[in-house]
Amino acid sequence: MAKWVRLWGKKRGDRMSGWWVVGSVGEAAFFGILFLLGIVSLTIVVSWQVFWPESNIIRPGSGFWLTFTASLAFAVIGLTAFILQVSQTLASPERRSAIATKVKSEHQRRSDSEPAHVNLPNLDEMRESPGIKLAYRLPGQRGENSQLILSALFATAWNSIVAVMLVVVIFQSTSPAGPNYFLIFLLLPFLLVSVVATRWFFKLFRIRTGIGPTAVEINALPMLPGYEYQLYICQYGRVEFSKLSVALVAFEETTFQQGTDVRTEVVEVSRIEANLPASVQSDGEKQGLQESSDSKALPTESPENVSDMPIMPSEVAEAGLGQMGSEQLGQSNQAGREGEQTWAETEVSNSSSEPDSGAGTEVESKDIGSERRKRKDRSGKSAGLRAEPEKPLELDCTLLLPADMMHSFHSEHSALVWRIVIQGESVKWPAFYRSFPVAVYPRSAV
Amino acid sequence: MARVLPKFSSRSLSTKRRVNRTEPALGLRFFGLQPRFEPNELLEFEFRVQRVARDEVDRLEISVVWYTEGKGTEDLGVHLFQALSAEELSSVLDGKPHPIVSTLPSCPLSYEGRLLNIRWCVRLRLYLNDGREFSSEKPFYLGHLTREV
Repeated sequence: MAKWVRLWGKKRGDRMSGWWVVGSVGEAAFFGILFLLGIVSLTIVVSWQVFWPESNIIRPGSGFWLTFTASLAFAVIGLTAFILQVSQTLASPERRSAIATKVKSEHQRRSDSEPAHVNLPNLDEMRESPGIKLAYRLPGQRGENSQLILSALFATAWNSIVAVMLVVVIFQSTSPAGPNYFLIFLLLPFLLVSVVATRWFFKLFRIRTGIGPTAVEINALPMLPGYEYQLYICQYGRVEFSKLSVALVAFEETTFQQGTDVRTEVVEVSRIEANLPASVQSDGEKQGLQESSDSKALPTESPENVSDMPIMPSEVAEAGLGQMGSEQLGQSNQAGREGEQTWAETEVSNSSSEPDSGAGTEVESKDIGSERRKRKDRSGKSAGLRAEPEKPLELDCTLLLPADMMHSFHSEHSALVWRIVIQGESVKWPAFYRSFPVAVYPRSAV
Repeated sequence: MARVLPKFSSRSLSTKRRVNRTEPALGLRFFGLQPRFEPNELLEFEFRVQRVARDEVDRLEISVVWYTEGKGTEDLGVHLFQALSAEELSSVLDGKPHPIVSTLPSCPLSYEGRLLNIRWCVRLRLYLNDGREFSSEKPFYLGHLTREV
């Protein structure tokens, strides 16, 4: 018995039931009809306007230009989708990709530019800024200021609404009709959101501008596996770090469709720690030892522990990792909360061991925190990690790349990105995180 | 002690071969023993098409491609693409192996990460006049990175 042709299919795992030709032909026919409809309506509207402008037989109700634009949009969308559908049906993915590659290489040949590797990051942008001490000054990660801009826009828009409402309330209160109590009660939550939004903006603004800019220079680009590279880091502004780490970190980034949403997920997959100067390391180690001898319950702060420090939620936000997957972000937040809890518990237990502890727990933990900072200041242990406006913090470090590491890669929907990440904790500032993209090429590509 | 034997579906125990005898056979084979190549190395392989008549075949495509796998939408990059014309097909459909040599590119290297995998393969696609399409592929590694960094 002959099978009936199924007009509708069902998704069965990776494949669809039904005959794929029906779907493709149906889709192509739909867009073909859309194109014809657009062309016919466009021809009628234009020809009528040109040859019989005074006639009332066909008079576009919403104006000539609106009808013209709608007809043109129908024609363009229909034609584009029809060609795309036909090419997808008739040509294999390899053939389409080969045609696209050929067009790109032809375009590159005509523009007489240096032949570049399609799937490796372009070096022009990274090399365009020369360094003071080393060959290149690396550009910062794009989008790190997007949260600040977003908060500024939101705070401005919300405060404008609140200001208008406030003016209306004041005018109504002074009018003979009396105040509008409903509007006054409505204003209260609006004011609350306004305060929160403004605080959010100023907090981000303080973080971005208070610590000062960071400059990272490198002696050679692209980076190649198996080679050692010199880094020069210069931190401006007024800041004192209690912890600081410099590392070359690999992130995998993928874009995928989830239903009708397009999502991007970012995961850290590898971390190569840089060798910090011996003076900074020894300071840190001494600091850890002295801290542990002074108060055994306090956690050590040696540079070896820096990479293991928990990721605080504020740190994630400042790092511009908003695109990170919700699952991973949740884990990070949890890790951050666990870290905070551990820290608080440690301080409380330490305070209870002291003989003069007579006050409440909250007061004690504050006292311990201030005492700890005073001890740090007295000993001057973090003097090697202090930046002043007249004397920026300068660090020379080396980065040894393993021979079997993966190179940078990017395609349309996926990427493996290497970044130099500077991460630290300051005494009076929130967690510090700045990243600078670099290009790691395979040795065979150079 | 009771002996409990696993129960298999009677459909999966069928001994009948389901391969349709009229389907063409596509064969791909590397000349080397290991399917692993270094960047810029010569990739030498041969393909063979059997059990199909010349007048049944519309076209044949041979390609060396990389593609991404994982959580993201799949991307495809073509290193080598050959579409055999009608004249070339008659010499290919004789059932004998036909060698192809190509110099591999320097990147991207094969990679297996958490969200992203990069895989290389040689792919053969045969299109018949009745609209049917058959494909065969042979994966290989480019470089020596088979795991995440």
